[in-house]
Amino acid sequence: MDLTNLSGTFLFDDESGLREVAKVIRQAGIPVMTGAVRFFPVDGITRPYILE
Amino acid sequence: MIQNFAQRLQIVVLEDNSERREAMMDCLRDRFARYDIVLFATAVEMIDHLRRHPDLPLVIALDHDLDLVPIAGKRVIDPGTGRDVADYLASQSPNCPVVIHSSNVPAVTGMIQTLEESGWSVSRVIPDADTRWIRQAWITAIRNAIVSAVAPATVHSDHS
Repeated sequence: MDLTNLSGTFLFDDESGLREVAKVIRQAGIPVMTGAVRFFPVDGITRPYILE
Repeated sequence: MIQNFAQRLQIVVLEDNSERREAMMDCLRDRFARYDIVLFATAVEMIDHLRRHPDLPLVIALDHDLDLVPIAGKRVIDPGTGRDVADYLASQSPNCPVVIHSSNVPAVTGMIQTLEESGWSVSRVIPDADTRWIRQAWITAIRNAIVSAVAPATVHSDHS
């Protein structure tokens, strides 16, 4: 499973929002693997990168 | 080279069918609004674009069979094929994933082999009669290709 800010569900414009979602999901007992959290900068200019 | 402004990353698509182009545009604008969407109907135009902007594609989508393009009088332009683009890409360093959407099995097999031998990551979607496959399998393949190609954080040390 990967976790991104690409969809309308998790449309964050900064990293902290996506990190927070990953944290909540992990706290719920759902494993989020290392490398699965991928951030897509909203400027559309910066290449996406693995957040954690 | 001095660049006056940064350009947005692009989703670059080779597709000549107007219904398909419209459906692809709808899906891409809905899912990837932060990126520029660039569609081409001929291989020559697409190769020229990729030659001028090698670092902009986030993902490249290729059809194979393209219809002749009518011009003035009864003349037509040969649009080339997706294989022409695949051959061009194979001569370049891989820098984004490629998604092929064509029902021409022999042609697709050749495109995949050519691209993979050059190190490109390739996936394939089989088109259907209408455009539902675009809203389902194709856009999913595009999304998965983009997400899978994201580089590890160690490569992007400028991001904290």
